Amino acid sequence: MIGKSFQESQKKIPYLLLSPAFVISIIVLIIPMVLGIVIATKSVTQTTILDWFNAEFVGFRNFSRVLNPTEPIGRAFYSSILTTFRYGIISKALHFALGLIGALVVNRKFKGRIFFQTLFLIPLAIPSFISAIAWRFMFLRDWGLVNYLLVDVFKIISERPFWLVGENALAAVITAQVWKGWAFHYLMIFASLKGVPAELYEAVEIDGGGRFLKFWHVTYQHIKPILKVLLVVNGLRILNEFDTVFVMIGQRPPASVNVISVQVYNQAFVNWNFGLASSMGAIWLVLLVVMATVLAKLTNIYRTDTK
Amino acid sequence: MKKLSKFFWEKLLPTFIIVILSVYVILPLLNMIVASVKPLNEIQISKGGLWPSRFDFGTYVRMWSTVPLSKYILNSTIIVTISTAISIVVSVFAGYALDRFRFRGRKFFGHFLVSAQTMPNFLILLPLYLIYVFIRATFRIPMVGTYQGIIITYLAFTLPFSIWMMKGFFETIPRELEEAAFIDGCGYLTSIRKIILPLTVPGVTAVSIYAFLLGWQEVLFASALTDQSTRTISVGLRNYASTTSTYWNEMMAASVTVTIPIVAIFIFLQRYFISGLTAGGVKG
Repeated sequence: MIGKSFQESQKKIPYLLLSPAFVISIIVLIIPMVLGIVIATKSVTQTTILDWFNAEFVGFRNFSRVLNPTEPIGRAFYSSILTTFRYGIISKALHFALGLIGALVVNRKFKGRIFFQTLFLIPLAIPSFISAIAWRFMFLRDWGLVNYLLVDVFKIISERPFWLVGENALAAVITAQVWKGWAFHYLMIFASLKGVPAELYEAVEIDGGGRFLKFWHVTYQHIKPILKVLLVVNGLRILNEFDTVFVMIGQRPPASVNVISVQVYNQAFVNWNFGLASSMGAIWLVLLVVMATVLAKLTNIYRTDTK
Repeated sequence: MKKLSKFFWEKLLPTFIIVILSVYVILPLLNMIVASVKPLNEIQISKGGLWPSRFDFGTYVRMWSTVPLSKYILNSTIIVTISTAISIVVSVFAGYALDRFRFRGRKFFGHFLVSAQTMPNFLILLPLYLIYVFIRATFRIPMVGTYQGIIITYLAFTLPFSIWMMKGFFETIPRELEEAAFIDGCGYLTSIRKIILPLTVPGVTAVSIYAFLLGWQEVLFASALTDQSTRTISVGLRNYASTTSTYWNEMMAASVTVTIPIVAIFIFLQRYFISGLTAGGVKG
């Protein structure tokens, strides 16, 4: 009798403990996800937003407009997706390159290495909006340090370019984004490099292998798991990044940096067309899921990770 | 020849790379700090040159009235503290349940938490905004532009990873501890409070710092869901930075002021800071 009621009460405890988390998840995650699909099939615009629940049901019309390359909205959508990939791939490549090179050069015995090992972590401590503002200031045409160095000191360019508009904005935004992002990759790769056993390098040396064989057969093999995690889990994050463009360039960015997050945001909060914005979001979400699946399959990440 | 190649690969090239990366890291910060004590006309006539001919420390006084900086900081502190506190309390219970019990729906909830972390915030924002509009229209409770509105929203991104991280921390605490307490007559809540919670202090610290920092630098939700009276520091400074007649020296002084406490946290609590980053940033 006592045993049974004890077991009964034991069964309820996890649900009791989870109930606050569950309620909050329903409110802030599940309802919004479901509602996102509903809104995508409605005509929620400036005039209907206050009573959006009763707004006209338009079926797939929002979707077909967004996917139609002959309409301005469709063109904007496709251009945003291309921009997002360009931005994401270049940023990610630089994250990996700088993170790996940075980790390798400070993972050697030399005087003052602790200083540089710590210095490279500093960007992680700077809030992203501060780094975006600082880089906006760096890239101002007339008052920025970048143009001062390029034009006045090193005389690489003769005319001061505008960095925050047009095609140049991409370079400026990536410079700011990578400034913070590479440090994180450096941290993860550096931590993983510390576990490489020195004997393995000696073994390669005995076999007559040089620098590149050492890197390829020992270092790279050792850090491969962490590189995979950074690519799959963290890699998709850059595609949803919003802050750098929004803070550095502003509300109406040029096409070169009009990434999907900013595009959807503007469609909703500037043009007040939540129906179109939500259908863009839904399509993007499908793309994300597909990419996540493909990346996970390609890298075999869930099989090599024995967690 | 061999010696030369060794010198190149082991001395010259690494040194060169270290210098380049250090300049990349330091330059914007140095520029920010120096510009924060430049007179405004020096910023304009120096054409971006770094060193001013005289310093003006008055920027650190005037910035408080140029931008409603103290209000922004207060708003951010209120919003982020409350949302962090809620997600810590909720995630301690949930993380404990997920690690210690085997029950129906456990795996499902775990998967849900992982996928929720990859859900882009900008896709959650739109429906949440409309829900807030609906609540305002139906129940006459204001949500957009209020503390409660933005605090609830922040839980959408702090909660999933907080639970996930807490679960991970509980995994490191041996189960026998509370079984012993349970045999001695402690209830579950007492055993959590008296035995387990003291052991999770490092975990709770790491999760709190990470949740706090994420909230502190959040831009997307705050830009759509706050108004003049609830504006957070991130959106407040962003809005000021994108005006054309920005006092860049005061802007940079404000940036330095906002950054210093965070760098201080970073230096003093580096261990927690980094464990939060690695757990939340990668598994997230």
